[in-house]
Amino acid sequence: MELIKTEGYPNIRLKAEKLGFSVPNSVWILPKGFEQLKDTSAILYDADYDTVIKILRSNNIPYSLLDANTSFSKLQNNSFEILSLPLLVFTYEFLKENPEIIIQTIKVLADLLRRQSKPYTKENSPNVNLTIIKEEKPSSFKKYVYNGPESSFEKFLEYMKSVDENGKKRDS
Amino acid sequence: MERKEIVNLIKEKSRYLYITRDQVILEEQISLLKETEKDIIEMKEKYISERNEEQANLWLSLECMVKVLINGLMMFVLLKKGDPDNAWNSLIDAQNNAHWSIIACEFDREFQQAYLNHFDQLEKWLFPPQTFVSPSMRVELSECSVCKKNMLDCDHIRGQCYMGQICTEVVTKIKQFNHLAMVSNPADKKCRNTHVGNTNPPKQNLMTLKNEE
Repeated sequence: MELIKTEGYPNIRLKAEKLGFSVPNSVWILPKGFEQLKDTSAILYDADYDTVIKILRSNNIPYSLLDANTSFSKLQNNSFEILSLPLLVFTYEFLKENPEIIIQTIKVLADLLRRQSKPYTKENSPNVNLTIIKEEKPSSFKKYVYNGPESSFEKFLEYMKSVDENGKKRDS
Repeated sequence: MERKEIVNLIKEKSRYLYITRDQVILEEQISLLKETEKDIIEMKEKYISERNEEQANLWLSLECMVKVLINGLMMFVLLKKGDPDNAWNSLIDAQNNAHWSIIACEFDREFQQAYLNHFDQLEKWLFPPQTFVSPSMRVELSECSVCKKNMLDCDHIRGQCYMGQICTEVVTKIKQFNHLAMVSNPADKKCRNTHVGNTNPPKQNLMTLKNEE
């Protein structure tokens, strides 16, 4: 099973603006399937988006939901992953000001996942599904997906570190 | 009452966790363990009142371990009484308590993990494979079990332990029921298909395969 997948992603700015939302200068927490969203009444966050908010808040990582003044519903599935994580978007401008923010975010999530999986052994490690959207150049987005056991989540952190390193080498 | 004393007691009582044990003896052990549980809860509450989180969590962990035993013994009693559906519920309560014991405090990881593994094995050997179900719903409001605030407004993390209690999310407003899915890894193993068919002809109990009116 391939744990990490990367692919191009549609211009999320255009989609957000079409729906009446502006792109924030912070970690942008979006509901999964945002790219297919037809109207705002269908917005439904993943079950653990509130946990992600708490973790980012306690680590002083700035974040925004689609709209600060709206309270959103969430989809509670009593199964599947250990944590049902939302889509995390990192825009170019925000990354320019905070070059370490993706790694910092993945680190705090890895720590949370480790704590939540304490009763599991490596053999029955629960599943984790995390999607990160990175604006690599203005209006050019790329999707990074980790889908696999919690016990291997560190590989995603290492992978994203290498993505960062390669990006820095290219820029210099 | 000391932690070591409780751990030794739990170790000693594990010899009753076999289906060959006499039902009356199992029931006596359950009564004795319920008395121990009361003493443990008293200790935990003492530490909570002293705002000693480390000790409060340790005693919650010990309480969970005693509940593992109580539910494990109860599972055998119910099997002997010919009630496998409720025996299943006791098994799941034993598994959940073993899980929460580790979350609350890893006072002896190997020992705690052994109980979790033991009940996972019993699930495989004593019960037929189950078809689990998982409800999916659109939740509009929920509150934290620790501080009772809106789940978004506090800093407690669902599934973590705070001052002798595990934080859970209490859903207070469901906007819409979405679907019911059949799943292999449910959050709650008590959510399962119990019967097949309807009342005419009689439905079949999937544990016993007996037709029930």
